[in-house]
Amino acid sequence: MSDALIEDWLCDTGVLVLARGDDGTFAVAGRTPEFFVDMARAEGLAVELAARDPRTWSPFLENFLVDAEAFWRRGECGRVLSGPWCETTRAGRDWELEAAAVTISHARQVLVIQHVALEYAERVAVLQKARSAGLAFDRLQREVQDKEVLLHCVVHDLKTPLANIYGNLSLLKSGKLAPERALQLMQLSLAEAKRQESMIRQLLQVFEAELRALASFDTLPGLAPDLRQCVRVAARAMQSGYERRGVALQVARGFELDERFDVHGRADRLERVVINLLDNALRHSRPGSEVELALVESPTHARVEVRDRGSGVDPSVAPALFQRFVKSARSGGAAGLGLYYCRLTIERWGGRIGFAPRDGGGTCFWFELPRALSPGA
Amino acid sequence: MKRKKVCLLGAFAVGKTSLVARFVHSIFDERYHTTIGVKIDKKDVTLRGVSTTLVLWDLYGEDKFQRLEASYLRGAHGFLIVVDGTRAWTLDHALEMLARAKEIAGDVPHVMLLNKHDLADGWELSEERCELLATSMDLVRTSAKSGEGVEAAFERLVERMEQR
Repeated sequence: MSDALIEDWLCDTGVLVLARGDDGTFAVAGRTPEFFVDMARAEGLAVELAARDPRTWSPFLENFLVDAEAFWRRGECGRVLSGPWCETTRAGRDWELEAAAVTISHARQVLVIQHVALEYAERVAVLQKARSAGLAFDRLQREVQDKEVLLHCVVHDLKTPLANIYGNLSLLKSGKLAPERALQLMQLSLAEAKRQESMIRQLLQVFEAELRALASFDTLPGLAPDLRQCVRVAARAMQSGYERRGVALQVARGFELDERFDVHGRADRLERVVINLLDNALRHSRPGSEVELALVESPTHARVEVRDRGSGVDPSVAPALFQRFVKSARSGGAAGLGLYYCRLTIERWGGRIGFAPRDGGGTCFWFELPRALSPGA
Repeated sequence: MKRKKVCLLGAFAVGKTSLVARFVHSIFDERYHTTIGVKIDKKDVTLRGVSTTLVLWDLYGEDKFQRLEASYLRGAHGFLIVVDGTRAWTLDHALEMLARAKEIAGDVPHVMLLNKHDLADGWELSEERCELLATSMDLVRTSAKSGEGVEAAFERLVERMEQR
């Protein structure tokens, strides 16, 4: 094959051959491939200048030529490969390249630079596939671990009240207890049974919410719940519990208006969110204190605030308060799922949820939901 | 204008390429793009009146498919060590890489980026460990997605390189 033919072939396949002179500078051997003309232009260099010293435009080649020069100095035959790299020009264009320092016949030293866009893309695709599979495996493994922890927590939380009930029933069965003590144990057992029932209910809510999270958004205007109505229903449901504990529940006047205030979501689940927040506030409130339920309206959103005068959020659990099974010494026996359910539900509807300490003590839990616009709006 | 070579080091998929894309081009792509070999980008920065061209060497993430090429670190003026906060093991990996990088390039200035800070739900690094780490090196919490801390991290490194 003639030299001219080889040069044409190299040029057409995107290979730049730079012959090294005795003074260490380079010159294009044969024709200049198009990619190099474009690259030099993008860097604002004349082709001859860019070829003469590739260090001027390529930091990668500046580094590679240290190894190449060492190889040529040793006078060995063969080649040194650079490995692939991607050079991004100032204009933002990526050039995928690969270089080799080669010694050919008659000790001629050449630097070969090849534009390897296709090969590069293929290698990226293969590696990407392998790594994506690795990442998916890691995620799956973590999910399995999370589920194991979850299962452990569920078993533990359900077991504790059951053990208490079992103990109380065993004592009652002995028949040697004074009537007052027997009554006390029965009341304790009832309370434990109620606690267990509440945990099971919360677990079911969470699983339901997680399943629903996979389903479509509850944002159809025709299904939008009236926030005021939902809050009133929730407050009524919690009223007797508040009275028993001697905690006052103050519902803001904004909730009493008849005019609808439609938000994204679903009525039953929205009521459950408010109930969970009110239940949370009640558990952390001292008898004689007050919990306020407030509404902050804006043209696009509604913000509901549940403000208590309790002991505040334990700093050790604050960063993860809305995660599942987060409990502190101040949790009062709750399963640690109520706030998790709230977050899952509110975020699913495009809203936000959070909390902030209050001046004078206590906490303000809040959530925001987008207003549901009527079809004509 | 002065030129400074900065190498980004870290395990695969910690967000090195995304951090560079955010810093240089102000863009973020949700999809994961693996890097083969090296990706080189440049950005001019001016800090307290001193202009510098940063030559950013976004090195491939090391794993069983690709091992760190020592020659790529030659002549580096600074390192950005990137950790994925949602994968705790990437911190150990980063510290091990940093030790190897120091053997090759010397004790050059470095800043550690705790990336993916927007993914608070999946965060695996404990606060205690981060605080302990912060006593021995510069730590910046970043999110290539939101842009949080990205400029600050690069600026911190430039500042430290200028002090040398």
